[in-house]
Amino acid sequence: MNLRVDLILETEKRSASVVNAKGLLRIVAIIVPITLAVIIAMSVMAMTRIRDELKALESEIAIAVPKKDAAITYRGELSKNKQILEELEGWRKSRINWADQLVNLQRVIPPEIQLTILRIANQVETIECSPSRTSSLVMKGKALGPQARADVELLGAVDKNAAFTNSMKTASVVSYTKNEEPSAKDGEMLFQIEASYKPRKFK
Amino acid sequence: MKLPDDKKERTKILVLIGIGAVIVVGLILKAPVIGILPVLKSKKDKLEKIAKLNTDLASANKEIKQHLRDKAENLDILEKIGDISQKHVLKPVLGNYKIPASEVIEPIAKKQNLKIEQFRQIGISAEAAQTVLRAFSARVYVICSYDDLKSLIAEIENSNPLLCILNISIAVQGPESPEGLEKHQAYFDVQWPIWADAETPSKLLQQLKDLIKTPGSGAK
Repeated sequence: MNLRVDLILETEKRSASVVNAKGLLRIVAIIVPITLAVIIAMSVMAMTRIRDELKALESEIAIAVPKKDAAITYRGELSKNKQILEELEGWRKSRINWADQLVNLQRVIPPEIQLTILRIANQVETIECSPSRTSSLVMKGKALGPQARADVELLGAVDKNAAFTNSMKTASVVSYTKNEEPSAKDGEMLFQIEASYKPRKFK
Repeated sequence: MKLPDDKKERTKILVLIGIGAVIVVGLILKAPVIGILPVLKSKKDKLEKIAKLNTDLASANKEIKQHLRDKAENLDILEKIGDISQKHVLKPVLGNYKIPASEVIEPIAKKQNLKIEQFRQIGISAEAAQTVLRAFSARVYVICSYDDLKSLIAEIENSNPLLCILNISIAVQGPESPEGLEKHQAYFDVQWPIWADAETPSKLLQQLKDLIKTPGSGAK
């Protein structure tokens, strides 16, 4: 007769299962809260850092923006003053030194030619959206001798002369006729030459 | 991993897997409710705001740095304007420009031993938009040789780089005159810049004074 005596209580029995449910629950119960706590702590720290950074930036910008606005307003003042200086400089830029022109004209007029009238007229016009000074020249005179025509034509081409190429745009003889006045010398010719200068911009 | 053969054990494992799955799915689905998404959104908004503020601050700092350069440039410009205005812009005497203009021309003519036959005021140009200057013109009549006229015009031009000689007319006096071929009847216009608003120079001077007082203006 065989007798089996089981002295271990039901609660003391070891489980033969590969998965220890209690153990797993204990591990989960420790790891999950710790992980959550770490995540929450990191999030709180990150948010605090961001909030501090934002606050610091907001106070910096509160100081910088009025200064920036003042700087922009000031630039408007600077721009106005630049325009004033530019306008003043424009007077210098736009002028032609007529004393030099008179000297150069005297040099290119052949000795056989006598000018009776020399007129320079000036205007202010808008050229290519910019105010500019325009000038024109009229020379009337008498020419005598066999070289008269050649002399007048030479003077009529004054715009090709090196002394005028920078300033003069065009020049031409607009009339060349015999002087019919009773007091005129034999073979004396009357001529008129017109020239225009290159516009001088104020800006 | 192979599931145990024992039905009881197999059930336990399946139950544990089920619990795990429920927790994971629950966390995913319930995350917005428990506030993770609002927190993440708030963080994102704050980061965007920081990025924008950093850009604004960089732009403001750039303007502030430029402001110092602008002040130095403005100081230079105001000094130049003041200098030009003082020396070369015609100023009225008792609201009259003819007197100061004549005071420029007469001494030059006298120095050249030339007599000004007539000095006539032409007037002030019409006010134009967007300009601070107007032009005062006067006509000078002389009887002199071509050489004297050249010298007179040269001296007047040299006296002020801004004034302009305009509308020169030279005509011989006529053969009946004893000096006919030597002396010519001539006239020319002299044009000066004047301030459209007489208060402009004092306003600019005040600006200059204020700028010099301001620290960091680059004032010497």
